[in-house]
Amino acid sequence: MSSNNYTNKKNLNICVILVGLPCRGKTFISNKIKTYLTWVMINCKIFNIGDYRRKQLGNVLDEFINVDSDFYNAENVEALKIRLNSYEQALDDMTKWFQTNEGVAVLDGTSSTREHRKWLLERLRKQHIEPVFVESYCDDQELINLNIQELIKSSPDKKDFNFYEEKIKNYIKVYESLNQFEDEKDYTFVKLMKMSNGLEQAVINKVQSYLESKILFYVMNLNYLKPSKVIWLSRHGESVYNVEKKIGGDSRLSERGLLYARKIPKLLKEQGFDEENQMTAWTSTLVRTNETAQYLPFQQVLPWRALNELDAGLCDGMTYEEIEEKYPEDFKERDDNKFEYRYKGGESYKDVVLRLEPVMMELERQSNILIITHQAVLRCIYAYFMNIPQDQSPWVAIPLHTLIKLEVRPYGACKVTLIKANIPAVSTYKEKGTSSVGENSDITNNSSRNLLTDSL
Amino acid sequence: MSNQLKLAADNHQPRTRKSSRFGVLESVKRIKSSESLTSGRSVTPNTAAAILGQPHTDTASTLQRKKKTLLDQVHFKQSSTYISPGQLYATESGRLFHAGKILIVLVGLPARSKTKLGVALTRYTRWLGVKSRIFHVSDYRRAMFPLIEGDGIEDLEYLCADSTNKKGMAYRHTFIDACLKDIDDFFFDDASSQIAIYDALNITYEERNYLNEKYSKGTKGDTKANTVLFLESIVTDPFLLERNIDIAIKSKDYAFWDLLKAKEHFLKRIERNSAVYEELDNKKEAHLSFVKYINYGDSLWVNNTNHSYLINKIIEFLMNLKEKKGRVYLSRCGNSDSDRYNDDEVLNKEGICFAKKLTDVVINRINYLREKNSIEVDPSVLIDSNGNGHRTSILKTQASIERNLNMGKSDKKQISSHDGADEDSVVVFSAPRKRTLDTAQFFGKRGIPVRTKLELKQLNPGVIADMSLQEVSTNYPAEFKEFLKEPYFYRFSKGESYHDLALRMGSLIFEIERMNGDVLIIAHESALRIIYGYLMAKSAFDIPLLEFDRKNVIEISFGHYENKAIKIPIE
Repeated sequence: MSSNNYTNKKNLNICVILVGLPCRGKTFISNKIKTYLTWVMINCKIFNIGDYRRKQLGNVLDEFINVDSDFYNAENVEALKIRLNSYEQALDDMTKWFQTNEGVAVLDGTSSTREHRKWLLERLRKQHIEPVFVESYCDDQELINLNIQELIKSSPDKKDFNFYEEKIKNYIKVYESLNQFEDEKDYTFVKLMKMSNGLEQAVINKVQSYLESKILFYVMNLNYLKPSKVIWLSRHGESVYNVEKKIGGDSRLSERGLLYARKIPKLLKEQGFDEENQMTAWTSTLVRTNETAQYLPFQQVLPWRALNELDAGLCDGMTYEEIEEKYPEDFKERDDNKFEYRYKGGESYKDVVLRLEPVMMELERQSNILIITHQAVLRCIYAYFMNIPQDQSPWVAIPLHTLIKLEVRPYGACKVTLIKANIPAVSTYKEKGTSSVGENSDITNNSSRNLLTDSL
Repeated sequence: MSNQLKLAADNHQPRTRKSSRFGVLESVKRIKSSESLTSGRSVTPNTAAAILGQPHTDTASTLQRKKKTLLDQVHFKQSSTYISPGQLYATESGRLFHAGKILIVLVGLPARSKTKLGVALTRYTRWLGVKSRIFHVSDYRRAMFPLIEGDGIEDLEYLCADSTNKKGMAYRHTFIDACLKDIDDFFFDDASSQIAIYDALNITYEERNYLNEKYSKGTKGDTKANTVLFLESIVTDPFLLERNIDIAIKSKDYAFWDLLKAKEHFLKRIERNSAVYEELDNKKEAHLSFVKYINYGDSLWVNNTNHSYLINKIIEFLMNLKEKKGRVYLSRCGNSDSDRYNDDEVLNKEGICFAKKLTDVVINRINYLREKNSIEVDPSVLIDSNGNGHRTSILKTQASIERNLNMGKSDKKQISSHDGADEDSVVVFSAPRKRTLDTAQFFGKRGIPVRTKLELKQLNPGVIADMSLQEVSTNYPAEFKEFLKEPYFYRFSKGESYHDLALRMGSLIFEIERMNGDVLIIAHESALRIIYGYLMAKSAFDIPLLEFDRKNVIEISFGHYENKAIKIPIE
């Protein structure tokens, strides 16, 4: 008899509902929640009300395609119907999604009135979905203006500055913020506030479950409503072990690796980096990243243990050929499920993702960071920013002696630039099913390999 | 094989950075203080067997130690070589997360759970590996001016933070200054000190401004903190307040007092302070970093705290910390035939018998405590038809009466039925093994939910699984020697260390902190050690040595000043 008969499994479905005026970074927050949850292997789907509205208008009411700001006037009954309809459709799709999925849904709309939120709450609870509200409140006009400009660049609505200003004005007429009404005091929510004096406040209310607190805590760490920021990534310079085709270890840099270390400041300068710019480098605690960082003219170089290379356990210091020979079954097993395979006495990519969580949280809060770390760790970081599924991330080729410039923008995907140092180095890329290294061969059975170069 | 292990170990040699051009002092080395882990006490073969989860005999010396292990060590001073269970790495300066020194200033009227909050934060930050200490100003006050029944009214002069009362303030400053002096020493004397928690009223703008000026904007090396975080506890819930007052009048302050007189005195203390109380002001004090913590975690107001990972981690912990009612019970699973790691066995006859007894003991204990505290006993709970006096199910508490009253009312919060939603909740967390689930089965039959928790999976012993101690020392002599030096951190090939186990159980610890009501954890000794280690603030040295037998179930209750653990025999 199975003991599991006595185990009741319970799924808690959560819907994160964004609240706030237009141009408050709600879509950015939604996308980030999805990125984060997917990265830590929790299922997540975004339901964007704007998309539903566009779909409706496109299909049914052609004359409305040229929506003017009056469309968002609360007195425009016809338009209001369309907007409510968008919510109805989004909720229907969400219910369907929860029938086959468990995880977190994100409802990306304005949900800016008390009445509307109550309606949502009741609809969701009927489907056994627990709502969690995330409000973005901002009275810093400068930040809002910056955000509108970013939005104009990327929004499918193709509108001008004036349109958004008018749209916001229409919303303000009916907008009711959270945390001021008796009947909403039992809602689970976080209200993020950016004040005109530059201060940041947050109210967190009635958090019930651990998953909720995890999401809300992440959201609180986000540097949303900020113009795009740049994060620099690099592997360490070529190491002695790289040359000897050994994995892991704690060897020093090779001659060519040291050349790369010397060249990084020059590469940064060519990219418009000026020394006035307060920049910080993060390294691992291993010699090869410290040596790579040694010529940087930065204020701070901080070593993080969490940035250390994936621990290969018993295989540490071996070549892939040796591993294949000594542990043939493990070698194959790892190729079959590289993300979850844990080296004997060592780590899996999954383990690395979990230990990187604090680093990513800190990275969300910081700007002007150069991270010098290792291949596996960079794959995990890269997967986070580029939304690469975790079964593919361990196969992304990340070449040595190349600076990666990631421009994280409030709307749309990150922009990636590869800056080659033009210092020759060995390739450490290992193709699936072989123990030899090198990415020079054009023949690949692995579409994930070129994810980095393809994204350019 | 041993060569490879050695190689792996070599990679973790302490590494320090001498160059100063990096401008960073916090270079990182691996936690390696074999001295501190073995000094004074050593791991004997018998204890080694216990740590590795192998058969061993109880000895008199372990029994003696057991008595000590029931103490909550959250107020113990950490030595400079103290190592924490959840610590990820050590730095040369000893300060973690590149966060610098932090002073946490508690703010709030008497009976606002300030002490409890401070103690919980000390426990958690210590578990993270941060060197932290709590300073209760009341300890200093009592040492200088103990409260004596009868002349207590005069004490109100210095028990109140009224700055216009010159005489009272002069008294106040004698013990406040003594406390602050110790905080200075704590920051100054030991380079690795990182968090000081200052437990005092701090209810006026003036006091807070003084502390902020005195301690913030500091640089490394002096007595100042780099960050001052104010943590204000606000209680508006009359039930919480009433209960806090009850606890306060039974506290050390009123040790020899008549309860009624103590209450009268204490209420006056609250009243006098309420008159001068200035809540942290969102506008006037917006430049301060503060958290308003309302009704013990119901709601939080966070202002200007985006400083560092460690501060954020503290806020995350506060988000998960709840006013707890109920207790945590820890039990091992029953016996199975061969009791091996590699086989996933069901319980044998003896084990089933243990499971039944455990069910009775825990349910009776919970019902006993509920009966003692409840206002109204739910008549629907039947007496066992066997007539042995055991109630067949769990008594309802006040919470369920209220929940039933509020059901369907749109203006009242509907309590969802998730685990730990209110004090009514009783749930069993079981490790995902047949023998633990089998042990939990009779709870399931009595309608108590049993949840499988992957986090409770026992320590993976790796290559030495199911070996006798003799076999381990013969087959892996070098590794065994290393293990004896660092039983908490040593990881046998393919296996986990206790440290690995603690880190993977981190989220479960948050979950336990969040929960209301009672929870029984049925797991292997290794997992129980980590949970117990967190709740009772044990160091990394003690944790592998903790022992849980099958003769007792451990009950841990949450106190304001410290947690309490007792053993309940399973006869």
